[in-house]
Amino acid sequence: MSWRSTSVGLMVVGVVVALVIPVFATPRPVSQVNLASDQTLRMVIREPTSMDPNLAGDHSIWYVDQVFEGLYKILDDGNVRWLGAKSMEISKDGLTWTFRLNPAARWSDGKPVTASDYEWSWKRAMDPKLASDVASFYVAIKGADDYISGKLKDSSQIGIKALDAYTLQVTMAEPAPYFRAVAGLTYLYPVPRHVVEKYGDKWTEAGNIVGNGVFTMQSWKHDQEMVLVRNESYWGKRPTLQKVIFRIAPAGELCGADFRAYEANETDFAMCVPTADIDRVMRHPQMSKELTAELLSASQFLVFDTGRAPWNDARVRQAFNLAIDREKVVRALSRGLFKPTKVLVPPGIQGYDPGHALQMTAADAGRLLGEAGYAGGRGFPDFKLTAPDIRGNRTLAELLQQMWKETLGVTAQIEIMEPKAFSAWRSARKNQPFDMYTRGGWWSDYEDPTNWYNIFFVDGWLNSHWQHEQFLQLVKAAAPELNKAKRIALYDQADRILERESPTIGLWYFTDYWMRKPWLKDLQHTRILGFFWLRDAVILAH
Amino acid sequence: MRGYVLRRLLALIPTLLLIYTIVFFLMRATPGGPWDETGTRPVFPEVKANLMKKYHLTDPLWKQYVDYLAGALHGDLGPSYRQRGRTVNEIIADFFPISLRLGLAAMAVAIGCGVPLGFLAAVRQDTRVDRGLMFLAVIGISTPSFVVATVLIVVFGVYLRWVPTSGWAGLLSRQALIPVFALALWPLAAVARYARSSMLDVIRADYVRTAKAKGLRELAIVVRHAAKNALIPVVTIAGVYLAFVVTGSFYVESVTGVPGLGRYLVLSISARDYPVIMGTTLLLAIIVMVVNLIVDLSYALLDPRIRYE
Repeated sequence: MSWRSTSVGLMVVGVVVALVIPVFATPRPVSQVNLASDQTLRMVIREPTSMDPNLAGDHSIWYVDQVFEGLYKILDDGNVRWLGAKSMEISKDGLTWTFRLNPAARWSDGKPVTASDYEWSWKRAMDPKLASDVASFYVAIKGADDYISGKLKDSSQIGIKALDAYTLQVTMAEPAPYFRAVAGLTYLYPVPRHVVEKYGDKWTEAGNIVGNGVFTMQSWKHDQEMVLVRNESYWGKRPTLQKVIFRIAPAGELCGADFRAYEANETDFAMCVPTADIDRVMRHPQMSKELTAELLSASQFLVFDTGRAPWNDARVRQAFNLAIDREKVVRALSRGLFKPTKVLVPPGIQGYDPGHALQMTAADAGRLLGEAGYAGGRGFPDFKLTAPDIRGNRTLAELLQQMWKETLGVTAQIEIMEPKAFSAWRSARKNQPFDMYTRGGWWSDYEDPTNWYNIFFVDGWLNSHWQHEQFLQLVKAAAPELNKAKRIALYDQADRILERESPTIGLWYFTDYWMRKPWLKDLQHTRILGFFWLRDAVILAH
Repeated sequence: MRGYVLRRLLALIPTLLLIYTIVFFLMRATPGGPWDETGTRPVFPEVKANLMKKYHLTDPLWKQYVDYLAGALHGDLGPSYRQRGRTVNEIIADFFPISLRLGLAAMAVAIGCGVPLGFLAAVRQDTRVDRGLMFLAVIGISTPSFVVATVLIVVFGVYLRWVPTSGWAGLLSRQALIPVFALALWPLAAVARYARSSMLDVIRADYVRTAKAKGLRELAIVVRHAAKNALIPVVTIAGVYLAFVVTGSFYVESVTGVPGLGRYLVLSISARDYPVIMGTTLLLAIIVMVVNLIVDLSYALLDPRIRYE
């Protein structure tokens, strides 16, 4: 870090402290402050592709999460907030999971939410005829794989049983501790069978839709506006907010529309700041106080084809790793709002430890490349960095190209591809060579190491062709391990190997740039997929 | 005349079939399919197989080609892959009327202002008025519509707060002002330039000189005698712009948050939503061809020498 960036960093810290202290110096419980008489929250969203929890697999889950709820929610501190369930027991062998449901839970039309609602919904999500991409979250359950692929026709063979109205029993194919992190996700929220069967495809339209969450849908004019109102018959503590108005903006221009509406005081909350506006916001006396960078369980990284020269030599990968100035990259791409990382997995994932990063500096990079036979970059073969045309990837590629040129004396060619074309290219790398690629990052779908190590390297989803015997044995043994301490130890060992070998290079953790008007309080962010929890939010008098 | 119209309408059929064929095969030749991930999460191979089966993408290509065509001929443009539970027919019914209204309003502004301004510049040729107007026209033609829209939003939405920054509440609302103006500016400038140059040709014609010699007032000459003849090239160019504008502008619709068809088409292309791409492309093709026909027919109204047999 140069003196310049240090002093900038100190200044930023100083400014942040100066800004934060007056806000938090006199904490008052929200109940004592004046609430606005109009508890309406206004914000800009993207058109949901589906409001059906059994189908919603993209950004739609944020809105599904307001109208529906599942068994429980795991908060960022690791605590479980029980919702549709009251408790959960796991048998000693880890195969049988029993959920005791909350008998007070009701659909918004007054009918009770029962275990058979869950059973029916979960089987529906796996039904090949529905062809939902959220089906992949159910594969731990006995028979799920075969049912999804159509080999098993009889759904009663799937390990999901409503033992009585309020007891749901789930049988796993093999011990799957990660299911704890999955069972609370929107993909496993129940749907009201009586409504789905009555309206078919149109059951999620306003007027038809029935949920079990703290809000109900009042209206939905596609691509224009969706209005939610408080569910007055919700079983638990009802939200303070009475109404939520989602203005629906076009996908391509979402960030700009979101931010401009916020700046014009048309909304109370924005989930995005265009990169070009960040500097201005940070300098602005009022808006700078309203901006927070909320850490996500998501990272951006590079992937090597470790199956071929020169990338099969760990020293080459380490050299490329060490030559990257992450602070500089993050400053260029996010004005410093992303969080630089030298390791792959984010905090909250077992195995995460920033101390596992290579304990060397950029000065060692050239030496390592020399040891690999390419001193000063001489004789290094031509290579290409491939990336999809999204989220500042072009800038990233150019920065990396420059850093590698300066530190290692090698020149990368850059290939930026249209996103779908990139996706097809990347899938085809399963059996084909490449040099290195970066994609749009990876977001934890659930907070469990299997979502990283096992999917990436055991299932081979990264196509990095990395076959490290010891690493693979460790993560394969860790995934079904029921002893928590043992499981953590296994993943910790695996992560050490991963970071030492550098088949991937961690660059930064993503953050959500949130802007909240001063009168909007208690709106929680969850680092898993950036959910916003409207149920606790309040609007102060202003 | 009736025979001519009928022939032109019949000619739509082979053209549409050709467009259908080209689009059908181009879509499938484009790398990346509807269920290749672009978000962050991989789609399971089993699930992808189920989706392909559900939407008949596992059928042989010729069968897909014939089946969709048969459906389209019966008015069924298929389901959207991206927007689960919605059909292309519903999407077009929701979005096209908005693009159409917006486009017609923009063209009304463009012609309503562009023609008089162009004529004014012509009769005041080489004066300050002429130079000023043509300077503005050049700016209007060369400024991309999304820049115009963004500037208008920042000035009138964010700073002055006269109009909402985005959204749609019908054509007769404050929200419509920015998209209509942003969409109108380019055709307005073009129409003004064409109106000027064609008026310049006409006012040098003998019959105008005769009218001047008779001592008629300038306004009367321009309005009664010259305007009709000067309008023919303007109608041609306005027709081109009309087809362009009513089919929806991706940029203007995106920036101003108007739920129109132009924006939807572009988004469906990046999502590889085949039925939506096909349905909207066919609709746009029909519109362009019908507008062209209307333009051709309007010549006959403006110039009695033109006859269609």
